[in-house]
Amino acid sequence: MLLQQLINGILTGSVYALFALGFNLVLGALNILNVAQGAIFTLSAFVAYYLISVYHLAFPFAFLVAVLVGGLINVALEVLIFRPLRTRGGTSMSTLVASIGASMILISIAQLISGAQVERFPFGTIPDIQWNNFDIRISFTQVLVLSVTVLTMAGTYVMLNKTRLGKAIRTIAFSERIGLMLGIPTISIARWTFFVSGALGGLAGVLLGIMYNSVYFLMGEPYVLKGFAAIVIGGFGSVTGVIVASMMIGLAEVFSTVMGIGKFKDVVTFGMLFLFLLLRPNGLFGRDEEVRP
Amino acid sequence: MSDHEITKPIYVQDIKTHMDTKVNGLELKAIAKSFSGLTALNNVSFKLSRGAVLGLIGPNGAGKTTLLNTVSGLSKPDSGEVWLDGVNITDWPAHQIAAVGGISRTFQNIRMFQGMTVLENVLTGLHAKLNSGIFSTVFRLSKESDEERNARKLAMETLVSLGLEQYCNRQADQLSYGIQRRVEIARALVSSPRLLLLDEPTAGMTPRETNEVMELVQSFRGSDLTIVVIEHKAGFIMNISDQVIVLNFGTVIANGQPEDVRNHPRVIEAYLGVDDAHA
Amino acid sequence: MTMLDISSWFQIYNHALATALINSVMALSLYFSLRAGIFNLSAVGFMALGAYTSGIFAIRLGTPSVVGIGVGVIISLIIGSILVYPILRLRGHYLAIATLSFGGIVQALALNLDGLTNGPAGLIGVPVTVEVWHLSIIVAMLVYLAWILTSSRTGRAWDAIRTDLSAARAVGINVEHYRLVSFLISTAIAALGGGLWAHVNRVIVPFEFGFPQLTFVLVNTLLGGISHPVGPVIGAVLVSTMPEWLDKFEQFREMIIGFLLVAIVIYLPNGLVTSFSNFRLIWTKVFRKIETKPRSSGNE
Repeated sequence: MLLQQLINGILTGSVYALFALGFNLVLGALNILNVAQGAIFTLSAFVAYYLISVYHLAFPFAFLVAVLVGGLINVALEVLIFRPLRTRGGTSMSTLVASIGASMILISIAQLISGAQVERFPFGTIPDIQWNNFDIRISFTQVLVLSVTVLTMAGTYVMLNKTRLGKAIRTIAFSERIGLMLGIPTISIARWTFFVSGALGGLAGVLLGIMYNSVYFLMGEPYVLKGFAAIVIGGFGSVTGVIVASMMIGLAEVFSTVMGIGKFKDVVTFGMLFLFLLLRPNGLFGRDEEVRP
Repeated sequence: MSDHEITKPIYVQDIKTHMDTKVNGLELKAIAKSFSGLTALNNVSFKLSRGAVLGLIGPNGAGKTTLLNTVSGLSKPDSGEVWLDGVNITDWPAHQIAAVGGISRTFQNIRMFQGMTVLENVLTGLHAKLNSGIFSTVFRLSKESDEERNARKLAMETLVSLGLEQYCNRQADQLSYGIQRRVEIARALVSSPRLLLLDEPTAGMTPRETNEVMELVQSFRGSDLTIVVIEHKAGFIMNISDQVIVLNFGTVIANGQPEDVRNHPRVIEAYLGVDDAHA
Repeated sequence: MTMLDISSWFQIYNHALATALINSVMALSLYFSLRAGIFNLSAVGFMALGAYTSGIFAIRLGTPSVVGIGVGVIISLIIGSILVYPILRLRGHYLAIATLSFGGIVQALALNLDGLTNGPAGLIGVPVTVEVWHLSIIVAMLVYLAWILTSSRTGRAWDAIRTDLSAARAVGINVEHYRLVSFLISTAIAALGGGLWAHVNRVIVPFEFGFPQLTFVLVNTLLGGISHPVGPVIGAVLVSTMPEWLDKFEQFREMIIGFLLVAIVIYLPNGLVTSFSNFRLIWTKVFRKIETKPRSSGNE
């Protein structure tokens, strides 16, 4: 029983990690707290749902398209909202407000299309196979989700550390001025960052949608706040930190349920967030960044 | 183009102070400051008597602004002490150094409060001298409106003495560079400070405006106002300073009378290749 | 048209007006924080605290409304004072996240502390004792309070802190003190708004104190702008009466508000109220120029 819960915790934690990774990427590289990440999460899930249920696309293709769409929507936000704001001298406050506005727009689109209904994937989208060993039940879906998340995290790590794009992103994260001086095309790198971030968020959305087999327009909301917690606890700008923190949050939630205070699992998450903000705002792995004014 | 001569501003002795008037002046003792491993200030020590003018010069990046930041409290030194009129102000928070210590400053890249008019900017300079808080404002106590009225009067007088009164209701950040610099100086002077720190006050000014600032500084000769000026214009520094300190790579390489420093071999070496034509 | 029609029309209209005024109060709460440059998103959290306290006192203890509302404000101030020290040491995004999650905690607690708050079903039956005229007076007083504070030394300090923190310190402004004061004023007003709301709406549910409501408060304040205290009120009234002039586009309300937020932040960062005063400035300049031209030149 405990092992089962542990596995659940790891699973939910890893999906949180994907979402939070995208969040943290844009925050770390461009200093933009993009609350619309939650809306992208939701919209990608919807895209996957409609492609499968209405257009009868096979899951792998629908999945890919949904992820791409997630990335593209995020880029659209950069082009239409964040870049113009940037050129007009936006502060971190105003970019946050703008992202809140963008989030509202996107979520209401989802609401209007779906009519505020909870949609479920058609039976057979994912093969319904389960394994029962050692008192644990693992479904094919769960294995799929876990392997995709692990692969994606590894891929993101490789991208950030081994590819030119990744290095450019990390340079800009460190200092945009230096990036400019080194001849890095900051605007297109910013857009690539948004694309990857949106793709990650969208990926998390689709995975979560099939994991719980439900898609509805408010599904992304709780994740934004958990994403905040992951960023703060894990440390601003740290990929490892965010992953570890997300796992912690996933496990903490599961254990709250086990301990019978499941209702308060959000309070537990927020409580952890608060504690870290108060005592160790740089998080577990954060750069030694000045968090105080 | 200023139509008015810059006259010496009204200088009012401040009331609230617990400074010792026997030991006076500014003293730095072994100030050291590093940023992420980079040494900005290294064992900087000097004394400056009250009423004197100190010219602080040195190549770019020598640590002059960092030194000013340390004195004004915006930056805390890693080690060493700052003493003002016999009081150790090293650990004081920046606003206390300004308010109680009576240290005012201008900034290298002018820091006007955006969205405020020139008059309002200068009024903020008086913040520490005023007393009205939330309570007296909300309940409209008469002492508050009296105080406001006097404050505005004083601010206007300061503006007048710097030839700026025609700009009093203009948006401060929309004026020309030279005018903004003078407004910043007005903001620093309105509170009748004990120590005035000027960080490149004549940068971007015309020769005429530079002269006016020079005359302004000279007009304080013989008063109690101690002044520290960072400048690159050698002639300017030589004319106004009683004492000159040369900083290079965060270290004091010369400290003395202007003529002595000018001919100091290490100073010439530090400036090798830099042709200062504004002498 | 019978008397019943008129009175029911008035009842509906009455509630809408009251809601608009409550929204004005909340927008003014945010005003004080934004004016000092603090991105304080805790307004809805303290509103919930004020509303639930007020509701619980009225329903469970049967005290007069004023008592419940007052206690709500006091409790919020106490909690606010505890939180303010660690919170105000944070910068930018972290401050926003901290205040946002405070609101999240309050909402989660309201949802789950069934014994106290009756959980998701909420508190029902709070006596409706607050009228539109009460609210009008309160809003007017708050605007007046905001106006005299912001045109005084305190307001100058806030403006200085908002525009340039280091320069503010350099002129002797005790930044920590003024930020604390503005945060606490925001807290008190938000709690007041919540307490009043309880006695206007009869019902308090946890779902009313979440992120969407926070974004409404944001739009209200930012639409009017923070240049003048009357801005948030105008913004709140405009947005609150949206259902009226949106009519069949009602379903697009959230989307429109989202667009408004984005548009304001990019194109109208100072809100509506300044733009009008700028407009007036330009207008008078143009007219003065036309007037003085025919007169003899060289007359300065």
